[in-house]
Amino acid sequence: MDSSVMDAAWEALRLVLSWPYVVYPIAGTLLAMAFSATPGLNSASLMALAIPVTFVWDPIPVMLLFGSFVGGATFMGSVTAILFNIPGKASNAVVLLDGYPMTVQGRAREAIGAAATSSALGATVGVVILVVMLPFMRSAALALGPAEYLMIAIWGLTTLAALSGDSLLRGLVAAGLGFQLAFIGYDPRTAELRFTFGLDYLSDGLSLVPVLLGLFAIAEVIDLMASGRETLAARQASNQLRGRVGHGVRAVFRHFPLFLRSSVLGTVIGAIPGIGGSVAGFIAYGQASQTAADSSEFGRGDVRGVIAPEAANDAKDGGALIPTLALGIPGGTGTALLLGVLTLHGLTPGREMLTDHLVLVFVLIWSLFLSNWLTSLLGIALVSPMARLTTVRASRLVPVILILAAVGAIQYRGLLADLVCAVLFGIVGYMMKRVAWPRIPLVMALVLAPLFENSLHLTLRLHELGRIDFWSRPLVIVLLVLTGTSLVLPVFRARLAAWRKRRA
Amino acid sequence: MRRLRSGSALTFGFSLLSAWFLWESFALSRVASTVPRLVLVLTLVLLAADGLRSWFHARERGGEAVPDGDEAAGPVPPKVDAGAGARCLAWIALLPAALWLFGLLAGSAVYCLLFLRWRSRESWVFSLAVALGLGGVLTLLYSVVFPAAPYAGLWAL
Amino acid sequence: MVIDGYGRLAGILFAACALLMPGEAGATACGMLADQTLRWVVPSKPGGGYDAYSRLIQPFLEQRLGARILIDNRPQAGGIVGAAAIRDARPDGRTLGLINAPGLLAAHLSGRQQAPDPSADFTLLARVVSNRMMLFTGHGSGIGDAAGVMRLAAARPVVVGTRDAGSASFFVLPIVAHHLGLDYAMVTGYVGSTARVHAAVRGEVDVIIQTLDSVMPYLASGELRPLLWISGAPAEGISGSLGVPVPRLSDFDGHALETGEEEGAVDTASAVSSILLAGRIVVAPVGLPGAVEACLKNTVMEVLSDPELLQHAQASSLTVEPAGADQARRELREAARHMRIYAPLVRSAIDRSSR
Repeated sequence: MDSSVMDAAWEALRLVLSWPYVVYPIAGTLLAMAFSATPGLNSASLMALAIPVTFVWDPIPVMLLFGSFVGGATFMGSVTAILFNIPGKASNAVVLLDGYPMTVQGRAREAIGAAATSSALGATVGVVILVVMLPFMRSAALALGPAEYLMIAIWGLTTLAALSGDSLLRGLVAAGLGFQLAFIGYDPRTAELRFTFGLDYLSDGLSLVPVLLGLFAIAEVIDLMASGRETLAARQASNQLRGRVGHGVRAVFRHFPLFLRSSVLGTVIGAIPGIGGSVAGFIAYGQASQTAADSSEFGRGDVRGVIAPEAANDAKDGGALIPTLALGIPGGTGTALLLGVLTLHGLTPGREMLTDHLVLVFVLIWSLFLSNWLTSLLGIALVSPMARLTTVRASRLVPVILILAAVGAIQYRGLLADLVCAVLFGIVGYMMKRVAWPRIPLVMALVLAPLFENSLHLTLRLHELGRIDFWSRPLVIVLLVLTGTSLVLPVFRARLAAWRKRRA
Repeated sequence: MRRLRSGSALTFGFSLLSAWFLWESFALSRVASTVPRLVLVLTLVLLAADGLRSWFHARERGGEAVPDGDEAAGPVPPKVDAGAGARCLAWIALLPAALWLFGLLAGSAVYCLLFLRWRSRESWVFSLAVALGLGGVLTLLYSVVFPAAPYAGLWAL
Repeated sequence: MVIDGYGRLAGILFAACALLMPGEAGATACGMLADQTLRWVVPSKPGGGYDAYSRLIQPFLEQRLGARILIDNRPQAGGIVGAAAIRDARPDGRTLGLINAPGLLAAHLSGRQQAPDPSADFTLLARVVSNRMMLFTGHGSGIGDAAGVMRLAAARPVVVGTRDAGSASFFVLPIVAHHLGLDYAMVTGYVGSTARVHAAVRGEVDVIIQTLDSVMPYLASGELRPLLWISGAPAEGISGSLGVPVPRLSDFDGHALETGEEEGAVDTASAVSSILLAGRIVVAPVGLPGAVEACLKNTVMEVLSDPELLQHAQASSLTVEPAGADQARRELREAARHMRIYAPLVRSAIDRSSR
């Protein structure tokens, strides 16, 4: 790394830690944590709020604030997923597969300790890769076309097997349903209305927020009411909570190769423009399950099922900044708004940004890094009082959770109909939970379907016109191999285990 | 059997929904309908396979136990009688109704009070305290954090 | 994405962080909207061109009105969903937004989508900027100039990357192709100008039609090459390969469209220019009370003419060419007249894209 980059990084760090600049990332982190702890609210909304307020600010405090919004937003959504089975946003959904069972087993502290550690260290890996790769990313990102995006979507879908628990067939059906729901609204190519059944509400498509709140938050509440469970943790005293934060922290180091692999995966996926962050956690979980020697505990409270997606979710933040800064292509809504902020302050992403404004770039990166660590440390500090919530009588928690979910659903678009939608999905989610139909594949398919359909259409059209040749695109081949491995490896391992058992 | 019946109902419901979507797809252009139709047909085939599998397992095990694939879900969930289930759903449905009638702020407080007092059987003091506290927090949020006026309810129109 | 519900948080934590706060609020021009929350609908994703213009205007409009503006992103269907949201809102002055007038006109007159009619379904407040559109190609395409495109079209259909129906880049294509006698193959589904630009840079498509503002960084780096001015006055500093000036559509004697005895043959180049002149317009629902309408028209025009806004726009590489409501209405009427003539062409392009 040349000296100008090092100088810029050092100068930026000095600025970030100086007074009064250090106030901005701290305040931004606290705001982001508060927003992301409430289901349905997210940092993108916070950023949109901040844009007009910060319009006349100098660039440095703007970078500090928005960097902390990006960095501080992910972890708290995982906390609610672990404690209450209610993900803050789609990217947190996969953490509940193992995080929530750990809570039910009274190991909430261990789960949050593992999540916090993965989160902070994962973000660090993401930032390191970001800094190293930044000068090279422009040409790499330009090389990603519809065929590559299609393969990424397919690769993501191969993790369905891991996300379906023990019922692959029902996982596939749930994914099919997710696709169906994603088709509702305007077709992106012909602008025809599809599957709206004459309802104006559906012409915008189904929003992910009410679906997520319904399938998890409201379904969980219905389950609490119907099952007659006394508390979330099935334990009535906080001194019956097993597990300590330290167990969770040590677990990350015990499974360090898994953590590192997931972080790198998260960074790479985050760096792919237009994918969105939700996919990183899904794929990391799938890979963790498919490559584990013994995956029997996944979905039942295996700490690896918390480490992998959490590391990927936070590493992706660093990755998502790569195309945003290098090319001006946002990875998701949050980075899209960040891009808008940069433009409004006269900062053009691309070569100019990476040469003339390198100090500002590093200010953004350091703020992201700092806020990730701050969020994790605060999360660990708050783990005991938060874990105690799981021993509060369920009948007291239910109305509060329901109303928070209602606020989250209505706030997103200002429509009461979104709450009705959330309630309907809550009923469906409860029925699915009752008969052990997996719900995560539905969410994953809902997220991936638009990318899959549009990429498929573009790829086929370009192939029809003779504009692309799959076999001459190295990344397509690499992704094809990864996809094939994802499909074949679990089967191979199962056969190998059976053969070994027979021999023994 | 309980899980089997519930599972079959869900399979049937999803099949109906998918069939309806498939029917609607024939009104669309080729470009807009190709991928949806593929997905819908595949989903219906998988649903049929799931239904058949459940039926065969039920026959083999004399209608007892759960179909393969659900064993990991743990013990069969306790029976929820129709009355209790209906009451549960009624309380859930009451939430959007309360918000629609009384608005986001007042409706939240009213719902919280009703729930804690009649469903959770908490004392009046506790129920009122939590309802007012929750309403107060939401009012504070909307006046300081969220400046857009919350939905005021039918009674305000 | 609706951002409603987030606003005066600055009052607590941002106040603790602020080094510079906006200057004291200017005198409000419209008392009835002061202290209200207005919804500004943007027909694009966050970070897109319309979003950038909207967020540029937002703080200035807030200051002048004394109101809070909440940005609502509705990117679906080329902006049709967003436009419909404005049309269907209550006419109380609390909903306004930015529309792509030419794209909407095309979608409406082609009759395929449930698109609002920009000339009848809105109260026009002001025009922000006209669409200055050009034909571009990637640096590795082998196409050096506009004549090169026509030579290519003689050998095989020119592959053009566009967005979905309802966007300006979609409907301009069949009209320009007709004028130049080009055989083309459309590849729809590139959502966002960046996706189209990258498709051209990668060589997936031969050409794209884009607004100039959206491609400046790629022109500067040489990754994109301009081929033809479709509308708007040629800007300084934009030249083709080897420094040759980029020709205009009107420089080519193309195929005129016969419309019948009354109209005679229509000059396509000036028709396209007229259509795209309507550009990006700030609109509100029909039926506003007179005082509110007058207030919004005056205020929006003041904001768009504010030297500070123009300075910020220039720094952000955004062109602002304000025009008042009356001028916007005249331009839109003229655009609609020409668009009706080309509606059958656009309709057949939509049919082709959905087969």
